Amino acid sequence: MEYLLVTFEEDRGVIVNSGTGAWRTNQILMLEAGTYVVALAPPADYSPAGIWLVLDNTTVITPSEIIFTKIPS
Amino acid sequence: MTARKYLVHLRLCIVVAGSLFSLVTAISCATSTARLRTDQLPNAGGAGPGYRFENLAGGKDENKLFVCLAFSGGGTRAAALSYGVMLALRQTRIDWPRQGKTLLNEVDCISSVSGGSFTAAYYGLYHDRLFDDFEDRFLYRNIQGGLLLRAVYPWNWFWLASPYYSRIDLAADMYDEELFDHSNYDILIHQAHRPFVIMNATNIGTGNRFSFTQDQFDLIGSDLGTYPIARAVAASSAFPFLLSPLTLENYQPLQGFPALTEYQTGLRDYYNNRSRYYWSQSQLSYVDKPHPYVHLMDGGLADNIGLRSIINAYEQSNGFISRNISDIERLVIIAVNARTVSNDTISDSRHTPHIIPTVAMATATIGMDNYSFDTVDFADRLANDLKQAEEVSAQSKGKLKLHAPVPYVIELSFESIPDPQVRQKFYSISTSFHLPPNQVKALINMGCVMLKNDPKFRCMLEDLERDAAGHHGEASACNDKKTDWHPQAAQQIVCPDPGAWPGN
Repeated sequence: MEYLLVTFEEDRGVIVNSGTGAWRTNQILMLEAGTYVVALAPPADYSPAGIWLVLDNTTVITPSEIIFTKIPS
Repeated sequence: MTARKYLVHLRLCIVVAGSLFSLVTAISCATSTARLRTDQLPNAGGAGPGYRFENLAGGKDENKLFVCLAFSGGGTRAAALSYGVMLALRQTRIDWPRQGKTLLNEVDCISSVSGGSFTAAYYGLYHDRLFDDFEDRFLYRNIQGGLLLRAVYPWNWFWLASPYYSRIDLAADMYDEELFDHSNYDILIHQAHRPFVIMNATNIGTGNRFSFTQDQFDLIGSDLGTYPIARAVAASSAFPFLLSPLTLENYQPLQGFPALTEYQTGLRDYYNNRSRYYWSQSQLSYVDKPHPYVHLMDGGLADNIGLRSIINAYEQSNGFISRNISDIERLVIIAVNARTVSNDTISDSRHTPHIIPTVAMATATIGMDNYSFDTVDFADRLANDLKQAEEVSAQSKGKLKLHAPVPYVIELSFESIPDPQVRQKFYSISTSFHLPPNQVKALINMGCVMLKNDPKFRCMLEDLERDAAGHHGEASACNDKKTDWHPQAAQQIVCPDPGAWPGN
């Protein structure tokens, strides 16, 4: 399994490959190795709109990290 | 033409017309599924109406203790063994996460192949009625004899001569009438109850697993709701050479069908994750390079233990376990493996083995057994990886927030029978849909006993008892360096009488 940390300033649901689940921001997610497109649950007040990444060679102490930033309203 | 001749001619015409009408009905019944309507199409994430895990009742609280069962193939032997396990689960009283429940109440999914699909489907459809009449309606019945009787019935010769109606249709019709009472998946959708039952067959065109879920039926543009449960069971248990393949129509390409992101991204993974790459490729082949038909045979050809669907649900980002992982605190996977080991008599002779039946049987079963080892090993490795990740996360004191429930992977097989002579007797039980009653009775007992005595099952119960006592979050009892646990819940399980078989 591979490890992914989705960083955002709020606790928010994470959407992986267009699918919603119980994944949350700021927690390490576990996924099998491979290519993913990651986004956040609504509202669409964050940037970028989606991030493509390849998960490979991660460990729980060195997860792949992606960062979403909040768009000021 | 005399009146008498006219009457004979008229009768003949009626018979021919009736036969043609029935033939048309048989043809349409043999392969008919309903095409997905526009309002039934899934979205890019794979969500939509129909028989999917997320459309069954239960939420966060029901996910805390997540239990999945895998029932292997092996004819009545597998069905009886898995039934014995269900009897034990029904008596396993637990007080966490909810008080006064049984472990059977907490079962969230059952994945099955072949003989195991009879128990899985019957429980999925009738729930506790399984314990009232499944033994009489299936386990102790001569199913093979019933099929043979139908095959020799002259009226059926007519249908069997048709290229659109074959032995598998005869079997499916018998299961439909005599076991599943003409029920289809719409009934399961309407019940909206867990467990989510995943019956697995093998697509003999691609060699891949084909699961009877709406997620899979999306890919062939078809509505699983109208499909008879008996036909899914028949496809899952269509043993090579004895039964013919079962055929489904593929309605793809469907207008408006979305590009499913999980598989589209998987196509980029040839170098990162070949199993994901090939799986995505095989799934998208139904949509991108559609053949008009899908021919299905025994699920054991792709995975004879039924565990692969559960592993995929855990690993893949569109899997129903993966998507609910944050809510799951304890994940229990019980694989009931009715695999037998036959004596190698082929290697005793210098002569080249006969094509039929020796080579044919070996070809049909070698792959099944190899895949069984493969999937159990894989699940064990996964559990160990997760255990290490959980330990690292715990040591980081909150810096690394990881929620990864370590699965308790419990494999029940005849290997665990301590007495070698008794074990050998169980190994000798044939793969058949007609077993002597004393063997069925012994198998039901053995399923119950194997679960009750399994060390991983017992330490898992000890963890649940610690949880109920308010010690949730402490290290698992399974980490203790011992092999004997004495949880109260296991001691309360009373297994049914084993009968006299196998004797001394």
